[in-house]
Amino acid sequence: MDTVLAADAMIVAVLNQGIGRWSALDYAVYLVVSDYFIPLAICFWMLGLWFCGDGPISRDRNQRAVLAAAISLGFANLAVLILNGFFFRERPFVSMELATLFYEPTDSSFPANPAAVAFAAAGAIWLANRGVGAALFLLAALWCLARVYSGLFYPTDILSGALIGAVTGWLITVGMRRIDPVPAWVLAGARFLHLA
Amino acid sequence: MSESFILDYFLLVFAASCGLYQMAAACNRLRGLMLFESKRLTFIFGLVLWVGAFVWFFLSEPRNMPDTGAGLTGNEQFGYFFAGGGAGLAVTLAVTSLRNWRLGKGTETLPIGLDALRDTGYARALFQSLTPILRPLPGDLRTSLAALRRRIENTLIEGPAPSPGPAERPHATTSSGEGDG
Repeated sequence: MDTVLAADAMIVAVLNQGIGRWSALDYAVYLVVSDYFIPLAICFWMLGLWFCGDGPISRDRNQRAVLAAAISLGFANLAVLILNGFFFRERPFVSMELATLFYEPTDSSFPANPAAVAFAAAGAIWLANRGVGAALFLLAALWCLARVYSGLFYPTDILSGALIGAVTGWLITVGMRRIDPVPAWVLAGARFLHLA
Repeated sequence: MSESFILDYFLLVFAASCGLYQMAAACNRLRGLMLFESKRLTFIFGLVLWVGAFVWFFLSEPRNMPDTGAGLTGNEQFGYFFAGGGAGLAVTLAVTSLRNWRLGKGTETLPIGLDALRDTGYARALFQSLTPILRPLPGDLRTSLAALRRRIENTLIEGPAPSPGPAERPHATTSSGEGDG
């Protein structure tokens, strides 16, 4: 366990040395690490997917995936909130001397909430649409990398958050298949209003 | 900047979603949802709106603020994204309905769902969907409710769908709805 924690701290320290070397990179990370940029990009991608599909069947599949992803976001957030009640881990910038491009959050570092929500959405979409899912996984990974680089999370926080998110996305997708008439009713209602 | 940037966030989502709907309409040939006749022009307009909204939001103020200060909590982000996206959709539907008022005039049957917007504006498509439901209902309350239920079901399904096999079941509503509409 100590080895893992030491490796965790070492990775953050090594990555964090990049801050302040290249201003263009710093600005890009400042944008990517934000609470808004990647989450909005993911949400807009999901919104766009709602309208897309080669035919009615593929559009129906995409819309079910968007519903699953939206629900997964909420449940992943809830799972992290519950776990935060049991575990508290200090942020890397508290216990180490690090430069940061972000404000200093006071909540628990473990598990990483951004990783959970981003991977939950990406996972749910990936199960229905591999191309868009892969793009969302890439965005999620980029967001998480920027957070480690900025000294906000340890890699194990990210890995645990990503695992929670991916499992939540998968569970919600499977759960939605089990309660099948319900999503079909929602989509039928939206189709009746020409919104799906 | 010390005040919350909720309004800025709402405006970002509103403008970017309007742009996204235009790009989606252009890509999926939903003429009833397009602001311009040209697909390319519609897509470029949507892209400019989308990118412009992001550029304005991130370059106008520092946005990395804690939610205890000017920033937004996760729940607020969800709520205002929903509100901004919904408002963008409402405005897009209203404006494109006016813009494409004559599109699909005289068309008697439209496909169910978004596909209807390939041939007509949103207001006309919605009116066609609601007309069978809004006709005066006959008799007492119980008969009326039963008739209303039948009408909604008929509008959604358009006749009895063939019973699907287990593999097809998830898409049964789509297939029957889109095909028969």
